[in-house]
Amino acid sequence: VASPAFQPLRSQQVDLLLDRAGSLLTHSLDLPEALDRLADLLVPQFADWCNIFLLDEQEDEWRLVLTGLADPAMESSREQARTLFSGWKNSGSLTQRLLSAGEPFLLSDGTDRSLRELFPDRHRVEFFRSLGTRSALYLPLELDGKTLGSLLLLVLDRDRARYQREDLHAARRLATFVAAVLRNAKLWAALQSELGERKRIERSLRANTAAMRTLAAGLGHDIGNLLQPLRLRLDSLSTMELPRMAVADLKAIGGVVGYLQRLTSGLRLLAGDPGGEISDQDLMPLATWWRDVETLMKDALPPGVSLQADVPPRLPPVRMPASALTHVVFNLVQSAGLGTQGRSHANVRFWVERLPRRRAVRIGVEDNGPGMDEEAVLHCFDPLYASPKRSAASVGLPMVRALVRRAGGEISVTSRLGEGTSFVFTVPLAERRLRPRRTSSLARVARVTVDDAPSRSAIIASLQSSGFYVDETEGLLHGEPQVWITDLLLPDNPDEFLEFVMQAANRLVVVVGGTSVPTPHPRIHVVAGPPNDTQLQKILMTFEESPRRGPRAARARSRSR
Amino acid sequence: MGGIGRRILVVDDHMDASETLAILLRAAGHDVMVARDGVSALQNAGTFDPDVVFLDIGLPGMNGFEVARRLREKDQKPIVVAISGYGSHLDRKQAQDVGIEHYFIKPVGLDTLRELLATLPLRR
Repeated sequence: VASPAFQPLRSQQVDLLLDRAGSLLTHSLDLPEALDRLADLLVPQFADWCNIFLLDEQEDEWRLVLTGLADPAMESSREQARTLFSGWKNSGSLTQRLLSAGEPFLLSDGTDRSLRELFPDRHRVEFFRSLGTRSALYLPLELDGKTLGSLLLLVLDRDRARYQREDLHAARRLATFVAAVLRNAKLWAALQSELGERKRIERSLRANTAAMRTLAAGLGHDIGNLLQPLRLRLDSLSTMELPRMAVADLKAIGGVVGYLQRLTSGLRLLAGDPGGEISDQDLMPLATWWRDVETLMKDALPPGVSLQADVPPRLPPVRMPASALTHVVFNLVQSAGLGTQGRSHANVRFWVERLPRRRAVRIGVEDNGPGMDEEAVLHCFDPLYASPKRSAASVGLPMVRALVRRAGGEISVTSRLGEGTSFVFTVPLAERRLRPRRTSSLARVARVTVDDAPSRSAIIASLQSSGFYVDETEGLLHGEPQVWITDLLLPDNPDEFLEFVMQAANRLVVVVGGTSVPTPHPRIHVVAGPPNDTQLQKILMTFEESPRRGPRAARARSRSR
Repeated sequence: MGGIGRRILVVDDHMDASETLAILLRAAGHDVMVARDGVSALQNAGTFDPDVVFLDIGLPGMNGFEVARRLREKDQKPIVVAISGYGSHLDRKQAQDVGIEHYFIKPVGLDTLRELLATLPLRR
């Protein structure tokens, strides 16, 4: 008595198979392993021989990926099948019919006529006849309306019943299950491949960045070394009485030295680790940072491309390492320059603005280049998307986005073909320490955040001669200074000053270069320009006369006496 | 430069930089000695007994951090001022760790050094 293929256990068998599907799908997503497991499930339970073909859409051909056989003695036929189906084009009546109709094909006997219906060419007909084919099911492997491949099941054994029309329903369920397994395995394989590619690109980007940082550090160091004696000599000569021509020459040389000095500042920031942690040194006003990097940014542009910058002078520091900010802007400016190169009036614009309702700034890099199409805009931050204009020396847009996000910001891009591209990103402002420990009344610590170096040095010297320990960190409210001398006037945010002075009773803020503050306070002192030693001593003395009530109170008491 | 004359050791392998600084410091009335590497800097520090050491960091052989660390181990503890072509956070942190009080990045101006010398205590 012939054993049924699907008949009595048709549904039950498929149900059992589907029960095992979970373990099959979760045990391994590796495609070759998934195929091996499918072979074990299909043969000999449902067939004596099975083949799985995957449709290669790019090549428009079927690829034989699995041959499962019940009889080990037929091993040589497996190799024969591989040769026979190598480069099997997606043509021929049956395969086309399968694709168009999505219907299974039942071969109820193994006659040449039937086999020719399945395989129109003589070689394949002969091959399947040589296997002893008695019946066949050829099923499209479809999922979500997409044909992934096909499944061929053969009955060879005389003890197994031939496939019948009643088997088709169960066969369709089986094919759906096989298709799901294959799709998951293919997706997994694609994912693994993509992850591998991403890792490779990341390594490459890191290597490029590391090389660029080493180069920048070396250049900064060497140029600094060369400039050191020049700077000293120029400073020394500037104090001497010299002929007018010599003064003009010195001024010209000084201009070149100044230019190179600014370039080295930018190179040093570019040499820093963009992925490093933020430190107090990073907490510099944005205008100070821009002064250090502007020359570098201009030098990053190709000839003929101009750089226009709009950086308001009083913007506070951002919560992003200066090196990371430099890498981000350098990359955007450089990419914009490369894209714009060759166009008339090629221009790159860098701008910064404070977001009024958030403790953040918005930074933009715009160009009037050819713009990007939708596809490029969509994928420009994707490490797998290769842009022909991307510079090998830059960290690349994917890393730009990573650095911005790491700082708690976000980046977006808009572009119009023929008009230009605009990258805009946000960065939060540096955090303030809201509740520092109460300052000891005996401590005499001053913080100086004055941008102009000579003024800063003079103020520091004056404070030190008064016995203050001066912290030159360019942070805002970190630490516990009693006196904060700053040129950082925030007209729209006087809270910064008030918060500082209110945190301890004996604190003083001296605002340099301001004319007024929006909210006057007895412990906020405004001076028009950098105070000289006498002025500063006077301010400090007045303040210290009445540390708890401030200079105005002290003056008021003085008048009332 | 800097008012009161001090004993200053300038350590820099870049000859033009060290000689220029030495000339200007001497012109300002300071007693100056120049060393080109870390080993001779330490030897000179022992005999010259400087008040201040202007120290380059990227020295051949023994770097400036190591020189500063060894200077701190000596009985006389001069004030160490780094004048370096490098200026990363790590460099500054390392300088702080080895007892370098001031850190300047090249090129540092004459006024800055003058003001620094004027405000430094006479002797530790």
